[in-house]
Amino acid sequence: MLDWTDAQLVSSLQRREVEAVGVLLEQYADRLYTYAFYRCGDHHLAEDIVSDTFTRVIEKIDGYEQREVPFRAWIYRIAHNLLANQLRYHSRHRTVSFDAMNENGERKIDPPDDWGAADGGSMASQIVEREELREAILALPEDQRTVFILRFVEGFELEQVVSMLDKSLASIKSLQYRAVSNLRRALSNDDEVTNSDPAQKKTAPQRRRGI
Amino acid sequence: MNEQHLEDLFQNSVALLEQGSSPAIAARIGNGAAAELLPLLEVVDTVRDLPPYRLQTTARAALSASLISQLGGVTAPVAQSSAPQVASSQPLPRSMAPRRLPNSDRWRLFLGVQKAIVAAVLVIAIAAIVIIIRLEQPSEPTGQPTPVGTVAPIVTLPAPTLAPIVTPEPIFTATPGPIPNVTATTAPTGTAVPTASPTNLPTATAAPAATVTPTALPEPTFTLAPAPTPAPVTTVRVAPVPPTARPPTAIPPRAVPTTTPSPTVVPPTAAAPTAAPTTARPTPSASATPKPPQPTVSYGSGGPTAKATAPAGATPTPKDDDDDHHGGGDEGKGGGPGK
Repeated sequence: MLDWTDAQLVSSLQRREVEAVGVLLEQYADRLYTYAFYRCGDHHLAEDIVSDTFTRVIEKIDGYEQREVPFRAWIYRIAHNLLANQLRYHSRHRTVSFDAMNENGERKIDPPDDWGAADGGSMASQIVEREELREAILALPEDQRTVFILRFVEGFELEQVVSMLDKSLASIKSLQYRAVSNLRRALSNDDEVTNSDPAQKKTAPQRRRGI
Repeated sequence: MNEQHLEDLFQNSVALLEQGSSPAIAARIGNGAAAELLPLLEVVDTVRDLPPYRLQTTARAALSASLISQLGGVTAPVAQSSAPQVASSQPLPRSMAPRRLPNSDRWRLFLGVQKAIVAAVLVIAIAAIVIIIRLEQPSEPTGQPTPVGTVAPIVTLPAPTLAPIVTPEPIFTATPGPIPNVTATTAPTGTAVPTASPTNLPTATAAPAATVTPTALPEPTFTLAPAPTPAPVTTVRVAPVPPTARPPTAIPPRAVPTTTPSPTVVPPTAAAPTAAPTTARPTPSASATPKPPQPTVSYGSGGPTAKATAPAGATPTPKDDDDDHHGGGDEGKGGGPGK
């Protein structure tokens, strides 16, 4: 069931075959959730975005044609538009999900289902590192954040990002470079704050690799 | 180093990184800028290796159930815990269904009305065609009477319009000879009276009953049906002659209608003369008043002058009125010039 290509998945959805829903969720639910959560930082909002995105996909699947845009890019474009609307709304109303905060008003870390995987704690360190990265990514400007997530977290090609965001290739390249530069700067600053000893000054990736 | 150049180097080194190279190797592209590229590439490499987040199982189950119900209408149980979250995404598909139903009903109604209109138009069109066909059928028989044709030919000689009818008739050949003689003399007396008044027509028919029956045929009112049957083509031939003899152009038209079925049966009068002038007279007798003018025999002298004399006989006046009604073309014309 997981070996379905996007073309098979689309045709099955267009035929209203129920098993296609399972494949759709298996292939795209976690990725969309990751993308949404990196962008908004809110667990519940990310779930809503995923749900709304799939609902829209089912609604519009009859009008979708493979030759226009790859199915994966099409789904992400829907999610991107929904997220943009939600983030615009939240930026105006400044609403904060209480579920995302602990008793001290700090943002909770959403443990994934694979929390504490049995590989001797390396997974736990990865997760901590991921949360540091996620916090730094959330601090990026919106356009840089979007490009960075699509390009390096979700692994889209430059051209696909260009088509999804309706921007020029040059601007996408520039946004991508500035996002990485700002992220490195933010992570290095965190290290400077956490490590008072200059000798211990290492970036998160270096620490993970034991450099 | 130029920022733009560093950006280009970063793009190239990222491409190497995506192909499987390590950050250190990818950074070598920059030569002198390798020290600046390496930390950037390490960030990228770290992000790419991070484990993804996973959607909670309860949320996933709820989402699956809602999508299945949306896709195929299958009602699957929804997880209790995530119900509030899922509910926010469900209103859309639910709200779509009721919108589509009324649209489909309207669409069906629209199609039904269209079909009904088309069917009604077809029925009306067919009915109209049938009615038209039936109306045309009775009109056709009018041309049946062969005798009519026989008379017409004579008249047509002068008139071009009638020519077609005449040509087919072989009878003509014989008639021309007698025509001149008869018309010259008889026309004045007999023809003048009958053509003038419609009443005369009936009288004329009466005459035909005796001999000139063919002339009577033309008249529809004259139930004297015998007229049509009487093949006496010979007599008929004579009848038309009078009109032709007089004024070439005007007469023909008269003759045609009269001969066939119409009242202008004037020919009968003419025929009367040929067969027996006296017999023809009787027909006018039917219309008592007009007869007196008959004495207008003065006509014999011919056209205009004769008419001038006719007025002398006061009695003829009534005839004149009749002529006007029927357009007793022949005589009326004659009087005109006299003035």
